[in-house]
Amino acid sequence: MSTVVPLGPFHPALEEPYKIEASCDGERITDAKITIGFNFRGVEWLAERKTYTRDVALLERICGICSNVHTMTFCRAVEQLAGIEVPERAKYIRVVTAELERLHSHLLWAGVACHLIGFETLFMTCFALRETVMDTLERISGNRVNYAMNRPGGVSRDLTDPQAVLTAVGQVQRAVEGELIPVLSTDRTVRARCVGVGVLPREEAFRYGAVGPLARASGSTEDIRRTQPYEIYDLLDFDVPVLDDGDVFARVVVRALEIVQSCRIITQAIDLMPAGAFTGPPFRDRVPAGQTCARIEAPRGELLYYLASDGGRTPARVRVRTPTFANMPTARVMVRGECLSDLGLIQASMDPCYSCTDR
Amino acid sequence: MTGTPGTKTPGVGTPGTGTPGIGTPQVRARDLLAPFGAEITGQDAGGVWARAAGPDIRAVVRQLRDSGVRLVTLTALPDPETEEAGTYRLISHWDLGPALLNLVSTVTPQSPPSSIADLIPGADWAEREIRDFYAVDFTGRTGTPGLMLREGDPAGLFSRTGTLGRDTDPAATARQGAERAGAVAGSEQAPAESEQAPTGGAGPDAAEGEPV
Repeated sequence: MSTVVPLGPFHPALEEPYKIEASCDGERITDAKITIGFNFRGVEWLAERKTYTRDVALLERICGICSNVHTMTFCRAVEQLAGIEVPERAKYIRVVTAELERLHSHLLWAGVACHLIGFETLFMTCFALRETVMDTLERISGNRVNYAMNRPGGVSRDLTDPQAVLTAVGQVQRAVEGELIPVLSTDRTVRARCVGVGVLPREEAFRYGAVGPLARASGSTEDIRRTQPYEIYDLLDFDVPVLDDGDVFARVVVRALEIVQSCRIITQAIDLMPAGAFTGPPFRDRVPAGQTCARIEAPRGELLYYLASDGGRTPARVRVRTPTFANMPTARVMVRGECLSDLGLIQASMDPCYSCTDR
Repeated sequence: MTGTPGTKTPGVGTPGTGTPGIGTPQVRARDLLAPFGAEITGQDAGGVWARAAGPDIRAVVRQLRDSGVRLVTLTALPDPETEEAGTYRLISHWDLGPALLNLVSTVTPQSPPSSIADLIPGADWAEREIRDFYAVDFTGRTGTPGLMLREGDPAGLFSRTGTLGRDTDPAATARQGAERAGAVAGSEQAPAESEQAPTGGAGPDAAEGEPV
C-alpha cells in the first residue's frame, strides 16, 4: 500500500519553503512530487517596470546567498546590448567578488549538509570559515549579503585592501585542504550517510538539463567559466572537479574541491589585477533595441539572463533561469528507491535555492 | 568513487583555450538545424540566433537532444513585431558549449507550440511557467498545472497585467487598474488601493532627468 508523506512548505528539514510529497512503499520512496512558488515575487514583472539602474538593486534581492551573480549577469547583458566596455580592473574585481560569494555559498551548504548528516562539529567548522569569508566581503563592499558591487560598465567600489583578502582566502584554503576535505572524504559517518545515496546518473542529469556542481558530480564536465569564459577566467589556471558517481557523496566532494579552486582563482586574480579605473562613464539607462543572453557560472551552476530592449529606459523583458530551476526536477530521479529518512539529505545535497527559483 | 576524490579534471578547456574560433558555434548550429528548415539569423555575444520554420519544433528538439545539446530553458515574451494580442515570441535556449543557440519561433492561439516535455523532462517547468505568465498552452500535454501560481489561479498573470505599471504617468496607470476592475470609468476618482500600480512602478522610474 502506498502512503504519501508530505514535507513542507514549512518543515525543519527544508531550508526554504517548498513542498515535496513522497509516495512511499513502507520506508522506500517510490515517487515524489515537488511544489514550488511559495517565494514567487514577480521579479521579472517588476524588472520590466523599473529602469535598468534600479533593476540592478531589484535583481540583487532575488537571492540572499548568490545576490552578486544576479547583478553581474544582468550587467553583462546590459553591457552586451549597449556596447559598453568594462575596465580591466573591474573584471578582476568582479571575479574576486564572485568567487568569494562561491566560497560563502559552498561553505554554507557544507555546513547544512554536515548538520543533516548529524556531524555538528564539522557544521561549526564550516560556519566559522564562512564567517571569515563574509567578513572579507563586508570589508570589500560594506555589506555581508547584498554587496551592491556591480553596475553597468564596471563595479561600484575598488578593491582597496587586497592583502586582507589574500590572508582570509589563505586561511580558508588551509582549513579546507587540511580539515574539511580529509574529513568529508574519509569519515565513516559521512560515507555511511552519503555513498550510494540519491544517485543521479549522467544521462538523467542531461535529460533534465542539470547544471553546476550537481551535474559535475554526475560526470558532466561543463562549467561556464571554462566552456564560455567571461571576464578574466580565460587568463586563470584552475581545475573543474568532476566525479562520476552521481551520489550525495560525490556532490559533497565536488563542492569541497571547488572551494579550493575558488581560493586559487582569487589568489591569481589579485596577483594579476592591473591598476586603473574600476568603472566606466556613467550609465544613463540608454540601451538600444535588441535582445541578448548572458550566462555565468553561479555557485549552484549556470545562471542565464535573457534581456530584451525596445530602446526605452526600462527593459522590455527580463527572463531569469536560475540553476535550481534546472536542478530541482531531478529530485524525482534521486529519491526513487531511497529511504524516507534520506529524503532531507538528498534534497539538501542539491543545494536548492527557492528564492532564486521562484523569483 | 572514480579515482581519488578531486583528482579528475575534464579535458575541456585548457586555460586560455576555451574561446572557440569565430563562427564555430554558428557552423555547428547550421549543421544541426538545416535539415529542419530553421534559418540562422546571426551570431553575437548572446549566442547564435536562429528562426524555426514553425511553432512545432519537436523534430529539431529530437535532433538537438540526440546530438548531446542541452536545453537550457524556454523564454516567452509578447512578440515585439506585432500588435496582435496572444502572439508571443518563444525562444528555446540550447547549450552549444562555447555559445548558446537561441531558437526563435512565433506562436499564436491559432498555431500554438508543441510541448517538448515528453522529449526533455527539463522543459516541463518552463512550459508550466510560460502558461502561468502568458496563458500560452503547449499542445500534447496531458495537463499543465500551475508552477508559480496556486491551484485555481487563472493563467496569464503577466499578459493580464501587461500594461500596468508601464505607463510614464502613474495616475494613468492607476486609472487603468481601476477601469479594469470596473470600479470607475472616468479619470477623477481615485482607484482602490489594491488596484494601484505596484510599488516601484513606472512613476519614479519614468521621471526624465533622473540622476543615476
